[in-house]
Amino acid sequence: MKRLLFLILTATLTALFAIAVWQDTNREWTTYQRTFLGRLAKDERRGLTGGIKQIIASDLGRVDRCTTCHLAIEKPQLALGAEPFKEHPGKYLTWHPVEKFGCTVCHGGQGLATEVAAAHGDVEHWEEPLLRGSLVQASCRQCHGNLQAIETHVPQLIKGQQLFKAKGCYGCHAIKEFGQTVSQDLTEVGSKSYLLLKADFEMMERPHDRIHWLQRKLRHPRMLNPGVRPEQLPPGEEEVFPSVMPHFGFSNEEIEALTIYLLSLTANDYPASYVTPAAPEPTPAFASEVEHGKAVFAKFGCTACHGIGGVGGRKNPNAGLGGEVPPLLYVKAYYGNDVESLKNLIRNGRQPVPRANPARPNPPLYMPAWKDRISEAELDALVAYLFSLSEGLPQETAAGQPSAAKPVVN
Amino acid sequence: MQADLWRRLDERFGRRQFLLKSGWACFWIFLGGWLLSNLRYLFPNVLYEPTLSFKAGKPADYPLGISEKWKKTQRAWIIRTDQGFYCFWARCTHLGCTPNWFDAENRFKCPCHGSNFNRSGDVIAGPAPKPLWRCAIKLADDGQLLVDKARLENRPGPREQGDFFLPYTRA
Amino acid sequence: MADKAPSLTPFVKKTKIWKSVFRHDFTDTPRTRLQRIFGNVFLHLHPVRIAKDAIRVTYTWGLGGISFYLFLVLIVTGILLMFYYRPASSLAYQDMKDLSFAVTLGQLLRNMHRWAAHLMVVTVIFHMLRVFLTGAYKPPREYNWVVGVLLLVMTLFLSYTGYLLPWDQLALWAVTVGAQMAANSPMLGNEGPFRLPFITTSNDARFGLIGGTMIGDATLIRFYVLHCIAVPFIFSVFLCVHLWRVRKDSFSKQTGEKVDVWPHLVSREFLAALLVTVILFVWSMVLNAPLEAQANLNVTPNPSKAPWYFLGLQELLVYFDPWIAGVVLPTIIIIGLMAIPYVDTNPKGVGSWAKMRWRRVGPIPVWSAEERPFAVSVFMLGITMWFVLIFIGTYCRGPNWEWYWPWEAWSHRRIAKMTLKNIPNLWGSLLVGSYFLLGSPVPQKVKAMLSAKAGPQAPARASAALHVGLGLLISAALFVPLLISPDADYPSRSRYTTLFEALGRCRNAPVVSTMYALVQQLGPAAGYALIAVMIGLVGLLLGWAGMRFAKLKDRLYEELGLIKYSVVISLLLMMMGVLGKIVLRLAFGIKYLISLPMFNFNI
Repeated sequence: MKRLLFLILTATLTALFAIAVWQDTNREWTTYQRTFLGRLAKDERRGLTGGIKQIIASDLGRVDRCTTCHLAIEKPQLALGAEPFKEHPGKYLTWHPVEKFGCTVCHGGQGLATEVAAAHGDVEHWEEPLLRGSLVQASCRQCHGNLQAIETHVPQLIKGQQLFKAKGCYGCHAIKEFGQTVSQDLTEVGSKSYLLLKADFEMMERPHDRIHWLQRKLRHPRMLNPGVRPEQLPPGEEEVFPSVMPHFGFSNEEIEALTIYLLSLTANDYPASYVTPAAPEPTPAFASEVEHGKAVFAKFGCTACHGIGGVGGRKNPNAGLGGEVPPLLYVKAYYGNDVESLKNLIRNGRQPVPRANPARPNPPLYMPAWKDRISEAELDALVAYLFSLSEGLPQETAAGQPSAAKPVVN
Repeated sequence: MQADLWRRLDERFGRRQFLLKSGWACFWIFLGGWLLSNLRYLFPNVLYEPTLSFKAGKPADYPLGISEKWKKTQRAWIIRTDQGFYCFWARCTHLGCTPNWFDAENRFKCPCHGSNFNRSGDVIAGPAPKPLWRCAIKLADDGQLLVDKARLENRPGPREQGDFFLPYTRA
Repeated sequence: MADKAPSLTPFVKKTKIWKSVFRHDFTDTPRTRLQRIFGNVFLHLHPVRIAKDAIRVTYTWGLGGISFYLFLVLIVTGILLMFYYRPASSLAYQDMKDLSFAVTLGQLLRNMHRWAAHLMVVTVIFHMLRVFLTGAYKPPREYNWVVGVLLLVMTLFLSYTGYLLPWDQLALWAVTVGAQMAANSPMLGNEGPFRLPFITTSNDARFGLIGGTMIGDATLIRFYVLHCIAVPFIFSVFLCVHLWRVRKDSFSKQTGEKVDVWPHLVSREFLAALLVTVILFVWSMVLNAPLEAQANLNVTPNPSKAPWYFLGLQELLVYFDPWIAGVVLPTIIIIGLMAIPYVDTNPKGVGSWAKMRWRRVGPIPVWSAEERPFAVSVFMLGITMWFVLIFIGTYCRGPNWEWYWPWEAWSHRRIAKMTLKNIPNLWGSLLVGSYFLLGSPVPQKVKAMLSAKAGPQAPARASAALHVGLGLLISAALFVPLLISPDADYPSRSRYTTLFEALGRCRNAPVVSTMYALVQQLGPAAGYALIAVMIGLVGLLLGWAGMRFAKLKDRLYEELGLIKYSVVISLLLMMMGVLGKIVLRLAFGIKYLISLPMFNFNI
């Protein structure tokens, strides 16, 4: 009986050991390497060895083992038609030699891994996802401060940067000191830990990674943050309003561009030898004060809440006067005689906004303070622009009678 | 009999015993001292930690209320009441976003998921599970406020005393 | 038919070299069997012959030996891992990844090390359980039991220090929980009660443990040294004493005819080792040891859980102040375990598993041991409570340490406002005081005095009066403040002036809210009258329970004497008290019975 048990145990142990050794020597990458070497002609195979291959980019603190499977990435003459044996497109490897840069600094993923899913970052607990397709442009901005110089290579990134300005995101968000604090700072949103996104991940379908989170947030902000209604709360708890980030109705291309731009805002800090600083932005010349003001209005993101041309309309739950952010078309009528009050309003902001229903919480959107963020010259220009908005309205005589003149439709 | 007594005295207190006892005394003193100094050895004298303290200016420069002066650079609010000073770590206890202070509404509001905190840091709305953390605050030698973000407290009671509240009633 | 070629073996065996190494031949004679044990440094701790019943698998299940074997596995796999692992924060995580991805058999070795560690904690606990249930701690083996408890503590400490080494989020924050408990130590901890005047955050127990004020490189190298050299060395010293003592105190089972240790015991040990190895291999090949994201001091996972063997403690933190739950209770548990052989004067039950049978305690059938009912029941209750706490900590606690049923999905959006109230200190002290007074016996001398003074019925009546009185006191001290005391959080953090109103409306105090609903339904007069009756009934029930145990208590007192009795009864009452506290919190919404924030004293 004991002898039988002994045999069973030792035989099982030997078998298990054999399996373990077999598994260890037949990893995923050995299969890929065998396939690759098998397809090559004899003289092509000369000088090529098997085994794990790694690139140590010590300045960047990265070790990349991608070339274990991507064997032809630097050797176009050996490239085959299908991944992972394709060559690297374009001349990027000439400009960014692999020994100096590695792969993951641009493409993301998990350089230390030697299994496909893990290497591509498609596993739990790896927070640098692979930047597939056009998303790879996000990495360029980490070193290339001057995007205009490489604009043919980063069209979506530049578009994303422009969209961020144009849509008025700076009105609520700040990037590196510029912008507002109504909502979260986005300076390092491209490195935001997944642990901080857990509440949002619950509201979206998988995959739960930063790329999809950004896309979902841009497409349907309220879906990730629908708030909590009083009925769902324990007694005595205040309701939580849904996210007031506007639903911009972006197209797929716009979402792609903005995602790329936001992914480029990382906490990565590369050595100065790798980085080209941004070119200083030229101070634009303006044809008139109103033109200047229009640029200021866009620059500081006022359009996000007040709309393009100040037409208003953004939803602000429980706000008096219609539950919306007020339009700015009547600014001249209210403040035409009292420019200093208008300037102080812009400087100091106004919060809280009066409530429609006093039993419910204060509206989440409010006029923020621009005191230390806008210069006096810009403030003057802005006031000029705001006063010019009233030109779109029907004219009123001093006696308060509407004139017969037709309104200029803006 | 006297010889016997003398012999016994000699055995207990004589030269041999003296030498032996002194020898052992020295041994234990040495060993005890060695062990104690080893214990002291295990407590480092220098640390390689980033300092989370900062000097926040003179107390007299702060009006009553919530100061956002250090919110951006140090992620901290300094609050002055008529009793003294305390300091919050500007990090929502829900998922770590930075809330904003709304003077007119007398509360901190976090833009991420709507948590609201009152002046004392208690949660009055939203999903945050705990009150805001207070940092240790005291007066430095040069009279400036010295905030230490490495030491945090948020339990009602301990957070209003000791190192986490600096009494200051001068103008 | 050719002759067999002359073999080399007998020639070799006659050489001086061979004979200097192997002092005996390998034939199977009684003499050689003796010499194999005698003449082998690794085996010579074994006796040469051993009682047949002692080697039966079902006596010990080989748990002690398996624990020892796992320790050896951990040393071997640990040493191998040390060839690739560098204990620095900038390198450790990368080395863990390298072991998984780039080192031959690295993943297997890493898995084996981790799973062997978990398995060793389990087998060590079960070994302790086995020794208890077979009474193998009783004299003359008390000292070895104490050494065993110390080995248990060292096993847990080894596991704890090793947990940090992968330097991932799981490691960092699990160790943070433990380090915080050190900060909460009385006297030597910066945030504990009775802090000595010279203790600050830069020289307290936590500082010494983690080598600084924050967990960082200093902690990593410190834990590495503790884990790889310091504690294994001390562990080995204690292990030598422990194993030698097993021989010296004679094994607890000596019945049956004697058989040779070689081959009978040694072969069983070998087979057990093989079986454990097979299990370890299968486990390590199927399940990968976890590795989360790299340690990041700025981001805390929610929930942050300690390793499973400490989750019971972490769960206790809910009910008691950190220094009580994290320092005092574990210390009491360890001291209590060590005290067991010294307070257990019952000589029965050594050398065989405790036979269990059904018996009745009043109307309640109870499954208890025949020969040592008290000891076995109390110990098993303690062990069960410990495992239940670990279960709760593992499966029933989600983000913010809130209650989630094991099948409930975790959510970070949940707004759970639990209403928890403290009982006013005076009532709480009354409650705790009368509870502990329940443990007082009525000694023989007092009984004799009472009979002399007031007749033969007097002792029984006195005991009944004592217990019923205490039961009513406990019941009153619990319910009366709930009904009449003001809510100390009103008005800043509560909308209700009394505890009854505040707790009566909340969902997490089902007992109080039922009482509140009763009053609402029946009107105050009838409602409160009914509640008063209920309080009386609860008190009488407690009193009756006390009376049922009075006989046991008195008998125990006579057997053990004052000191041992006090130790046993305080430990028992504390254990049941923890259980009671848990019930009070979950059913009554009571946070603390006595709360003295100035002294960090909250129970």
